[in-house]
Amino acid sequence: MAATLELVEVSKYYGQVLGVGPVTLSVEPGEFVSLLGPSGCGKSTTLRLIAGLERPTAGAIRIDGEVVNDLPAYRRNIGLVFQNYALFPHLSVFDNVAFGLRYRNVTGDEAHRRGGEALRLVNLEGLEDRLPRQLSGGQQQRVALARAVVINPRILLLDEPLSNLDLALRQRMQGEIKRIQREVGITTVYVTHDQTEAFALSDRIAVLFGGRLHQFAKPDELYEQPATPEVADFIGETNYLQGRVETAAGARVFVTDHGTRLVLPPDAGAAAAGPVRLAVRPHRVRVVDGTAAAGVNVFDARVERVVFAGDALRATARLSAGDTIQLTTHNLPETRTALQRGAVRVQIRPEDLQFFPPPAG
Amino acid sequence: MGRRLFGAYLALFYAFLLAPVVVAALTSFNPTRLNLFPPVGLSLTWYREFLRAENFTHAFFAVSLKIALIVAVISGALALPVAYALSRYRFFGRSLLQTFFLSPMMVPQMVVGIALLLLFARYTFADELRIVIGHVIITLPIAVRAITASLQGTDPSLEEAAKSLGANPLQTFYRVTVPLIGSGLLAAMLFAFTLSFTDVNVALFLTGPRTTTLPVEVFAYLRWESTPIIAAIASVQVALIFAIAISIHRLIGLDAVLKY
Amino acid sequence: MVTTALGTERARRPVLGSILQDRPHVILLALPVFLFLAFLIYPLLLMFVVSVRNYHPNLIVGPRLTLENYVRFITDPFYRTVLANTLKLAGIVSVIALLLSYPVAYYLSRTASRLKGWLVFFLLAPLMVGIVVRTYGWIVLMGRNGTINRALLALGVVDEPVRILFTDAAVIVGLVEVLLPYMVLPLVSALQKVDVTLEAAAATLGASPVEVLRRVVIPLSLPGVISGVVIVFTLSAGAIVTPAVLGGPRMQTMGTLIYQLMTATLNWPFGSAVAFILLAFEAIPVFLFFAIVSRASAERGRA
Ligand SMILES: Nc1ncnc2c1ncn2[C@@H]1O[C@H](COP(=O)(O)OP(=O)(O)OP(=O)(O)O)[C@@H](O)[C@H]1O
Ligand SMILES: [Mg+2]
Repeated sequence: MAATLELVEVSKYYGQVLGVGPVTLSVEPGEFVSLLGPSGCGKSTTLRLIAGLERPTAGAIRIDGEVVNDLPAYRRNIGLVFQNYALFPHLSVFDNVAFGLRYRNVTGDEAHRRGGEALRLVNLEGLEDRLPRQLSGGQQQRVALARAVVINPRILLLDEPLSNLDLALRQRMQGEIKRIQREVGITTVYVTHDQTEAFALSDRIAVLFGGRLHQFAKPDELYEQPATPEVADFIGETNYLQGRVETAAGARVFVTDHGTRLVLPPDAGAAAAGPVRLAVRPHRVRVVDGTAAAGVNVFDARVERVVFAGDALRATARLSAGDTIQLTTHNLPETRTALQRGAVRVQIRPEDLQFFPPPAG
Repeated sequence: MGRRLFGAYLALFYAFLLAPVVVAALTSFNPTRLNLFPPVGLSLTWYREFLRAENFTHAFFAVSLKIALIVAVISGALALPVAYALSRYRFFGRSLLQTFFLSPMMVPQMVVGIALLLLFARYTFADELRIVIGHVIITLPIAVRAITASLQGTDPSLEEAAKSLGANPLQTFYRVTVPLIGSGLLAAMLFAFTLSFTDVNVALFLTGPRTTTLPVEVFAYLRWESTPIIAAIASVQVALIFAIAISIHRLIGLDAVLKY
Repeated sequence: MVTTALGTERARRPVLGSILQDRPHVILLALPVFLFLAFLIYPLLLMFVVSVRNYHPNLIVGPRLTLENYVRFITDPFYRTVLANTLKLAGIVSVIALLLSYPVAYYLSRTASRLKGWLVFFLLAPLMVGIVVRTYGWIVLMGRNGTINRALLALGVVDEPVRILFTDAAVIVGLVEVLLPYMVLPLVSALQKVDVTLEAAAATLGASPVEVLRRVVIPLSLPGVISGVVIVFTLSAGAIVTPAVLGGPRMQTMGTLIYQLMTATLNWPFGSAVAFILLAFEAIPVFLFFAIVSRASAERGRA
């Protein structure tokens, strides 16, 4: 039942306004993929294109290899859960869930059996006869989910389904959605602007900015090897160091605008000489013991600010040459006293550095 | 302005507005031929007179009521797709068409009547059909407004949800859209009914010998004389129209036509 | 290859299906648009064509193309007087209706009173009852033995019934009453759009309530004033029933004149021409208001 989904150079313009694209990505059968990005980046548009509620301006959408561009929404057999649930206010919970069955010629006892099964799947037995407005937000969300999966869709699409729920309920529903998706084994595309949600649920994540696909990768890869500065910025925090690559005594080094010299990772040979940006995650900046043998890229730093964030410590430090850097460490007593003293030694290991071209303009 | 002074003004304003309606209805209980208000007695003579006056009963029941019902149905059936298209789709010329469908409100009704009179002099239409056509033209803008108001109050994603579940556009329309805007549709039809039932300006030019509508019949009578038989007719009509007005008010609020 | 795949898919779709999917509005709007063209636009064009034809005693609409109908109206002092009287009447009715309605509209747009729903209801319900019934109500009130006369006699203000019906005043009162709701409604919707906080802002800046009204509320509600006046002016200039019944047989307005020409005299070419002349003059309040508005904004620019 699980289907493959491919978008090939798909783009959508609303008149002159870019909605999304061009986007190319392919989703494996049974895979859980999230579309992640800031507001207005084209997540909903992408979902509506897959569902058939919008027609792409260019490109092809394939399901199980078949181009579906011209297949109207009602013949695509795709389940869609709306951000506001879009439950039919004039129909009971059961009739909402059974709505799609009628158009698959499933009626009578069979409809009752399958509707009941779907409601059991989302833990809503016994509420069949209620109207949507008599349900809580979380219950409405489950009805929307049941209604979308009961038709055995080839693909399940969810548009920020949890954004109207409070935090506790949101976390519980995340688990529920993941469980149901596993049980049904359905190919799923999930839209969210919440990265922790995307990380918790997804096999792979597609990150969109301004309608363009910046990266489509596994969560850890997204974090460790962001493809663009925007991704690096959006996923977690990042320090940027502006500077240029120079060759000194046969070795290539990075010199920041302030003059800090950093040894580059072995595979950085390809990185262009001239102006570049280096990125390093705050928690990859290590606070090292002042007496330890000096390694590569160890610098003296002055601590300017320390923030206690539960089990972590966040600090702003200025390297001796003048670069400011954010760092995050575990909240251990010895690190804490070191930071509070105001002077530390930090290490930025070459393998934790990432190259980006300089910002345009 | 003092609060009380304004309260008094408001009361006077509404008294002025409602006086002729109330007076017209209550005068019907007079026992005499004179149009006296307050009535000098309590009698149902003039209601009996009304039921005996063949010209008035025919105009009331066989012409006006029948035409108003037909107009309500046609106007609702035409306004529904118009309102739907104008509020659910974005396309080239949309605002132009919107103005186009509201335009009969800008042309004086009398002009609509005259223009149709000239048309029907050239192309023959059945007498009743002539009035129905005229009334559909003048009622459509109001009907479109009423339905648009209730369409704007419903979430378009409900229709999209139905489509994603496999309902084709027609099935979506009947199973989701129509139930959701049912009250707006009904209100639109009631509006069309009252406008048709009370219209003179168009009907004056389109009535035939056996298709004189009630307001035209009453107008012709009033030009030469007036007796409380008109009051009896008026009170029946006022009761009917107020019942409809209250229904519309309950359904979508009478002021829904304001929000467009 | 993506493009070829798209191409073949598109070619296979049936025509009707593709219209329904790409341009559903075309199907929805086709019939209503056709009916409007056939029964509103075409008849109006026909009316214009008739207005530039000669009158023929047997054919009614003669074969000759001519401007004589328009010329006749302009050159004949009788018709000019009817036009002038009608415009004066419509102007008076519009101004009175505006003055009476504005405070009520302002109240309705600002009040949170529970009565508001019913106030709107009682504003609109008389409208739905129709003109004929309400005009009859005015006969009962203003007739020789009418309520007003009997009240005046009982109070000893007059010794014998005064003539109220069949005067210009009767027509004005009747028209104002019949058309009041048409003035209040656009005023309310315009005033509702005037942000209440603007008034508060003006007040905190030291404007007195009268100043706030004059310099903030009224200018901002001008669109509503314009559309209210235009509607009321148009409807009173074209009214037939109220002038004919309350003004009596000798009352002539453009409405009653056109009605006579079309249904009694059966001079359709002339009647159509008069109707077009009326249509043209109904544009007067629109121009008047734009002139006022533009002069006011020019003055503001100078200040
Ligand atoms: N119907 C439309 N007409 C014109 N522009 C549109 C339309 N729908 C979306 N857009 C534009 O397309 C872009 C992408 O919108 P989209 O709704 O896909 O964003 P999103 O990523 O879902 O944002 P959010 O997180 O706020 O829901 C936006 O710039 C938006 O303004
Ligand atoms: Mg969205």
